[in-house]
Amino acid sequence: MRRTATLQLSVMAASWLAALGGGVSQDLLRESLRDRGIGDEWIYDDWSEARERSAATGKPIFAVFRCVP
Amino acid sequence: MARQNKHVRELCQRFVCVRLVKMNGVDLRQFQFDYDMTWAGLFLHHDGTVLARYGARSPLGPMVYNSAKGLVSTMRRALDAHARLPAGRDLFAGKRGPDPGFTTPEDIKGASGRRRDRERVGRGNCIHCHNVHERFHDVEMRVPTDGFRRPKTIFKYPPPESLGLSIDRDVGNRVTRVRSDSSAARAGIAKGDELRVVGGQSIFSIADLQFVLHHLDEEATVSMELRRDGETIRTSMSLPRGWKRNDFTWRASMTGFPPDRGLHVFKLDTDDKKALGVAASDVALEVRGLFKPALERSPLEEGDIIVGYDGEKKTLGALEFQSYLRVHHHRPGSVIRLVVLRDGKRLPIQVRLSEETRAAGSSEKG
Repeated sequence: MRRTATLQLSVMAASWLAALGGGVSQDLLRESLRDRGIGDEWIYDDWSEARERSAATGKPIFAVFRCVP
Repeated sequence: MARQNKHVRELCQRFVCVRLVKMNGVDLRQFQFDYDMTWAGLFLHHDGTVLARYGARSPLGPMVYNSAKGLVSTMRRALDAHARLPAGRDLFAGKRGPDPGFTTPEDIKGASGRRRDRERVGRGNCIHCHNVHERFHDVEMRVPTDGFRRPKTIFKYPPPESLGLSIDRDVGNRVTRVRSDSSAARAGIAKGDELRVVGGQSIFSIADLQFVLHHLDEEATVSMELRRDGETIRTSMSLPRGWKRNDFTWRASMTGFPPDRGLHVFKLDTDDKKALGVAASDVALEVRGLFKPALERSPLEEGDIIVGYDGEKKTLGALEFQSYLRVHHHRPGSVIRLVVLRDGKRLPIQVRLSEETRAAGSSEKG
């Protein structure tokens, strides 16, 4: 129960930071969502950044929609 | 899936990967998919061209259509298609979808009670994927159709079985079964065929096929290009009225789907059924609430056990029963024939579910 509450709080904090444009939100979101060990190439909640990086690298985009649990 | 499968992880290196955790501010003209998914993937060119979708759900379970192999297969096809662009671009032109008429979920007019959308995003006002479907329901039901309100998209993203065929989830477009006397059989589709192009769109996954089907009319003809024994075969499939009907009871967006008949029931378990002399495979729903005038005046009583409906007695859960009412008894004045257990006796009764016809522009949804 405590672990769940902690996770929820961290996700809320990460979401608020994202809304405020906080630069640390990507790492915090990744940690909160337990998206560890899937590589550093993942971008979080920033479609514009994904498009720019795709145009620059020539790679296609893999966009995954999965809500905060 | 990405975490657990090394092939997926390796292929991710060849993409720019982005995870979107909420629908707030998401461009609905760009991102159209089955919003009831708990997980959905799109493969795109940076100019917005949609190459493929992945993530589909069968009424039989969340993973019936999905697998790591299937995802890998779709990723490889998307990479190949991306490398070939602009060749074949016409096969992707329709994959982005028609303009939904709204830019973001927040802009969907007619959605009510969601004034906090533009505030800072937290867990409490995060717009979930299925909320997008709900918002479209709100809009569609502002206009009564045929005297009642019902979204035209009640049967969303029809599964392949709606055509009478099943698809290999590991391949994404290979037919594993064709039901006799089905639309697929009449179109000449056979087991082992690969559906390459349907409705002018490249098919790389089951989600791709469902996207095409979602946008077809209630009665439609769709073109198909198959691959069989190294040869390309072109055919078309006629889909009769009613082909889109499918089980939507698993959909989160349909939980509060109107009309609410005001009939609240509770599914009895096997032990309760046994005590009442009802077979485990038969329906047994206890009536626990009658919340509409028409129901209050009906012969149905709280405490009745529903053991039959419209000549059927197959077991249903409470949500399935509500969905049954919404599909088969959505018209005002509709009458359901029930058999109820009351004081140890089986009574056949008829229940008129509602009498009112809702007026255009009314805010009532119940």
